[in-house]
Amino acid sequence: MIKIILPMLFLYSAAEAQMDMAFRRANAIALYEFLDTSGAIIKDTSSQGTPLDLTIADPSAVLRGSGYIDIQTRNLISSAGPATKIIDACKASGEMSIETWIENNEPAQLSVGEYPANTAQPNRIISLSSGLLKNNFSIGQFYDNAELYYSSINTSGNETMSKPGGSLNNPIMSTKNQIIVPSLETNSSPAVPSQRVIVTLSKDEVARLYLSDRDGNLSKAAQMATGFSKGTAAFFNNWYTDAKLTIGNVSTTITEVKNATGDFTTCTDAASIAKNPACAANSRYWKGKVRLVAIYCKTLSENDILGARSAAQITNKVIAVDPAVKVTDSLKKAQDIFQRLTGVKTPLYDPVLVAMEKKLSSNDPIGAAALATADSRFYNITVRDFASKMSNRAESITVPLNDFTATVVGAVRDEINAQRLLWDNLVYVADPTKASVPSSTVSDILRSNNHYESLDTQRIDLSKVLIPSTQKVYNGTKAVDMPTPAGLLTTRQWMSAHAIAGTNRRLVEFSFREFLCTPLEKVADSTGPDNVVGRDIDRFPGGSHTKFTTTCRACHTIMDGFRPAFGYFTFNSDYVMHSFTSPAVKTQEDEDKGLGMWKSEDAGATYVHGKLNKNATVFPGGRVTVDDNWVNDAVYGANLPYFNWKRMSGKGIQEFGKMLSESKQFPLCMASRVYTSVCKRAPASSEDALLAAASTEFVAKNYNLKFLFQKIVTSKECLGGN
Amino acid sequence: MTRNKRLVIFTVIAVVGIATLSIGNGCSQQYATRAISSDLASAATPATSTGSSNIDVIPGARTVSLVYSKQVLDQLSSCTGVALPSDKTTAMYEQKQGAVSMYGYVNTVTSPMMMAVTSIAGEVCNDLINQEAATGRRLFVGFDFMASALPNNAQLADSVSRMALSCWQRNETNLEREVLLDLVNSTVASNEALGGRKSALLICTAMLSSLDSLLN
Repeated sequence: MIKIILPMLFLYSAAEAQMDMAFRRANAIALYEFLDTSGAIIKDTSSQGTPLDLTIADPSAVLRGSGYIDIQTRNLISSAGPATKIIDACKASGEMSIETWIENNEPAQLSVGEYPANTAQPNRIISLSSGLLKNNFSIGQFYDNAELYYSSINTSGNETMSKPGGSLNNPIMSTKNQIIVPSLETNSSPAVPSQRVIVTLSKDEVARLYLSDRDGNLSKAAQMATGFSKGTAAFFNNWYTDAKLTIGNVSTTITEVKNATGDFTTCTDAASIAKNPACAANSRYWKGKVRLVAIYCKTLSENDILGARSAAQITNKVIAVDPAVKVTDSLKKAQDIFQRLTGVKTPLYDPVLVAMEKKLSSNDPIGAAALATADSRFYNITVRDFASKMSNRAESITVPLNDFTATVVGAVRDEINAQRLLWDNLVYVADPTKASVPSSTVSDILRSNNHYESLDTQRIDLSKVLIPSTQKVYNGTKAVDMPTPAGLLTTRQWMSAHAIAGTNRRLVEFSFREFLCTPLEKVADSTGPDNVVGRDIDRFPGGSHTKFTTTCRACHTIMDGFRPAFGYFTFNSDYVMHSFTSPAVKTQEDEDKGLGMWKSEDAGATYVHGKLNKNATVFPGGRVTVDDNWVNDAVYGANLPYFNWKRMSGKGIQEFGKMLSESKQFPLCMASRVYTSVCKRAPASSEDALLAAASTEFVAKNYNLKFLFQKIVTSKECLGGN
Repeated sequence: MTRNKRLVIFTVIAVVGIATLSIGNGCSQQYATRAISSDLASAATPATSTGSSNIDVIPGARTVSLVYSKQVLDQLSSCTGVALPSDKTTAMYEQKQGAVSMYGYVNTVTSPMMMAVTSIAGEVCNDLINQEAATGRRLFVGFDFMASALPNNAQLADSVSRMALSCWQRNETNLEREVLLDLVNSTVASNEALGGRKSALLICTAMLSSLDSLLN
């Protein structure tokens, strides 16, 4: 017995939130804990009303253990009569929550609509139905041909469940009242195989979904579903009063079974439906383990479900109004500074503004600004958008939060030297004990953006939950230490923007663009050496060598000189690949299939990605990249004083990042970006002196970005006035 | 047509009217100061898709901009002191934010943007009223949200003042106060069901969706 119980405790202790079994017994209208290990009855252990026990039509087709039932083939596990106590209570309350812990034992492999055993999908895990087309609610499963399955919940009176759209990153949507529930991947075993699914439906017609990740951490799904257009009360009133509660299948009537296909004459009772293969077509049986089912006729709160982690959202201050507040120019100036830094207005009677006003009157503008940068909105709005713009190819702020942006936000909060952002082994993640977001290292951080996107869409306060961490990379099997971490340059977001496909030249171009504010055409040098230019660049484009020397070479001497710094990286199959950790394959096609990383077969280029040396026949005499040694060719003419480099060559991405961060343009670029962020326009040439002075102080303050924000926002150029 | 429907239609017309009054010609009181009127004039060139705007810089003039799509909900809920927007408000924001200017340049204000902001503002105000009903009055002192009667003019005027300090960052003018009081008195009948709540919703939504609330 101990052997059985201990793993169960392990499985759920990590994920257990506020709710415990006593809460469930007191609050659920129906609760199934599967405590009995044998027999044909599953007891309702709720304390509410007359127990609604379930009967297993074929007990020989299930395995029962303490705390679970393993449904191994077609069966019918259903209440003997209508689930009146659920129907009545939910109609009365107008609210509902469904909680289930399930374990999908089948690899998702067969085609839609034909699984298992020619059973039309969706397969029903829980249903409150009186027929196939008469669902009060149900949770079903669609098998996909990939790694995940979909489930859906039908909340209307008479809807046919259809295959929903949606995706793992957009798991919940309102499509004819259906909610899409992504499952744990089944192609590789999750650390905690059971998945917890909780759906809540509130009176104001909003459905929420909570899911556990592969490590058992329960989190709120990013999206919510709305638009239950009939109104909550109306759709509960449409419920079928003769519906039965069923687990692992759908309760149906003989007439419907017969009418559906005309070939089910032997489907005369529950037992024969369960046993007779001819009844299978109208069965919706599901295979797997069910560890808990709880039906509530109330909307479980976030605090019920997530406990203390529910308090991590961005909140606004509720300030007592002082209608007698004196509106002065200095108070309005304080408000201006506050608003520019935090991105939001605060009432003029906010005590923070009064404190800022005092600082301003005592000639301490930086002190005044520091009071505003202590506000969480500074990080959640202003710094986030400042960083977002640098994180993607379109240079847009409308991208989801990602590891690049979160790392900048964390670094600003912790006043980390901004140079480290370009070369240190640093990335910021959310503390899973503080934020209810998917946090599996492989699934949610390295192979998807789920972790960060969920922080964003749940409006979680980044200033409270971000913690520094070291960088990891997925090696095709598991997460391992990043061999050559370089801050933002090796984040998943940066690589997904610039290392996907191509030849890794874009990484150089955008490094200059984002961190030195220098477009490639400005740094291009037509007099630069061409001995670094790759074999894939035609030296006689259109038959003209002159065109190469006057046009192509100018950019390629820069890009191709630096490009080896990124030679060990690519981004494919949704994750960063590093040649030290990924198995080698011989072609791009094999890499695209997820078999490994395409590595160059040129002599000595063991760890170089194949794309750096591809198209070798275009100009066979061009440079072959054999390692990550790079050369700085932006050192001639005007480029030298413009950048004021400290390094003329180097090895690897870290030294490349250090070179960028040591450039004279780095602090100037950061100053310019901060100015654009808080002063609401790009700086004019007449403001060069301000940027120069601010960047000098920025360097003197140990590259403290928070200080740079405080400095620039309080400038007269930004606030106006002479 | 039910009275509620008529109220909704009239409210929309009134709010759009106020918005138009505020932004239609850029001549309302709040833009009379030298700095801001200069900025508006200087921001005539359309913004580029990357968000940099070709704004002619006037030395010594403060650049003005509006809330942008990613911060509009934060801005409106912050100034009103709504601790946590409800799911319904968040859903409305997600539905409407696409119509709001991406970077908030004043030359990117459009009618659909103002309609979207009005929709979001309405939900924020609903949250505000629910919050005040639950925890006590801050902005709508003396309002009985359940009453089938209008608050008196002094109470209405007081709420306008409090809203102005909260979200306009200034005192309201006499004219603005009169317009808002006229709006309430002509829209909500004196014995109308939930008149207190409706009048609060009307004042809040009108003021929150005006350009002064959106300045950034």
